[in-house]
Amino acid sequence: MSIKNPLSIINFSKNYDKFTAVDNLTLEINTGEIFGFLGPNGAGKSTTIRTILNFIFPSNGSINIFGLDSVQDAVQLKKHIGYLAGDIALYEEMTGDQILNYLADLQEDTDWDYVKDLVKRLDASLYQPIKTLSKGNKQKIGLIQAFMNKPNLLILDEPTSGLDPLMKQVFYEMVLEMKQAGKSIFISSHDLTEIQKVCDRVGFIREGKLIAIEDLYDKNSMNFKKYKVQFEKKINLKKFTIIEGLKSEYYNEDTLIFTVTGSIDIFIKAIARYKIITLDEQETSLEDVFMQYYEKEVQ
Amino acid sequence: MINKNSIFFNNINSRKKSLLYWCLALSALTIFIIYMYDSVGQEASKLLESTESDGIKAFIGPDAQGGTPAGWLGFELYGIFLPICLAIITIGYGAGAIGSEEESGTLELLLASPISRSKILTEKVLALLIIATIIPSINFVAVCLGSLLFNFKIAIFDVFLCSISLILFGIFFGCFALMMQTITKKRSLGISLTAAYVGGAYFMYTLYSLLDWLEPMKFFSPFYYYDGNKILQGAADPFHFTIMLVGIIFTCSITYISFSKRDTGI
Repeated sequence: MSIKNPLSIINFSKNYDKFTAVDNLTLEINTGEIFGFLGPNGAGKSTTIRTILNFIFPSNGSINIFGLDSVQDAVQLKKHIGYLAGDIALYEEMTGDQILNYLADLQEDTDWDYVKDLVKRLDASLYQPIKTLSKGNKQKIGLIQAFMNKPNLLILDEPTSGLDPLMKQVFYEMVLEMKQAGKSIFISSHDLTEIQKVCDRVGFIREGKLIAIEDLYDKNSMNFKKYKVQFEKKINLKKFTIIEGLKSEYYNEDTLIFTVTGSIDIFIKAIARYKIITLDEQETSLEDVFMQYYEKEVQ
Repeated sequence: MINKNSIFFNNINSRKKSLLYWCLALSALTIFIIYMYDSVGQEASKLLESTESDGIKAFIGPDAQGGTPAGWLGFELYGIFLPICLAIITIGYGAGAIGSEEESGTLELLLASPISRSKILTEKVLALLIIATIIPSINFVAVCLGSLLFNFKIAIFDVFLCSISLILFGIFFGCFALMMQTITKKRSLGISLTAAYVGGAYFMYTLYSLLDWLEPMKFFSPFYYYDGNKILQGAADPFHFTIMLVGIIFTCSITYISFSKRDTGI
């Protein structure tokens, strides 16, 4: 088995009676790539992941992992896949140590020095029953079990859920180390900032459909920002609507929210004509990104 | 060598306490019932023999007899009480073997590992075999001990055969519950449907001697094939053992097919 072509999803659809959870999805990830899979809740991210791992079967299309079929060759493939479920469920009566031993025995070889290193870095609690652990501490056990066999393909569903900022940073480092080692990583999330931090490319999914795939190293992709500007007095919105690359809306009477696509220069010049009290950059939400794609489609 | 981190061992291990309590309670009860035979057993047996009500006889079990240690043991333990206790345990395990893990989400940990669905199921079924074997086996030891302590004259080989039949009975209902869960994807539905079958099977078995139209229905009742009373009285029927084995193989086959072909999770 080659570690090339880590994941190819070809015309994949999943239907539940009349409801289509994923509709004709096609995407491919490259060796050594961190691919972000971004979408709101219920978009079809988990359905896609659960099909990749053969928990559920595709209604149409196929999924190939390292050139093998995800259904026919499921057992062989899973030797090379690490998986972290979104909202992970662990055996509540067992300790983290017992769970890791249990799952390691279902695999072939486990490098326990590496596991110890992961435990240390994530500061995981291994000797308390899972039921006594916080969500963040359970997530750490989940991350360790996903990484512990140094899989060639890592599939992570909402991996930083419950982690504090320090541990999120440790997680980003772990992911980047895997990438440097030539492993491929597929991260599903609804957190745009997180995806932008670590991913090479990102696929946007909404209502089961893949809307776009963007290369995050491409400066023109997702090149828009949001700003909140408070003026000294109320400004007529119409003064900005004619400017290309600039969208504005009222936040309140004297404050406007601007979405700037492309160069920031136009925006700065446009607002400089008025007296400004405050200027803040806003976090771009997933909703904003989707709106941008919808507008592109309409145009 | 047993791998203590196997799915099989993990399933046994997680139920060891409840199994221990069941074994202790049932063994103590068995020895107490044997002890009581001399004082109340004879009288109760005479009462059973003297009753002219076919209804009462039917509900105790069509083949229940009194007046002998075998009859007393069948009347008090092996006729209805032990099979129902064992069915409760194995149905609970069978419906939960996949169902509990599926509902909690831990099944994904197993399915994400490089093992096939049939291997997961095989280890779960093996654990069911052990769980269904432990209680009748310990109870068999308790009968042997009781008969030595209280001069309770019973054919130990018949008790042994009855224990084997009881094990098959327990495994069958465990497998049936497992099959219902894998088909319906719901643990609670698996338990409910199997419990309904146990109830229906019991009435088919007890009432067929009273109602002619129920006569053919007895063949659908595992109680008919188990029939502890008959076995204790030295009338074990190898055909009945075979039918229970066939039932186990059939339910397991349906379970394997259903589980390997269906979507998992909630």
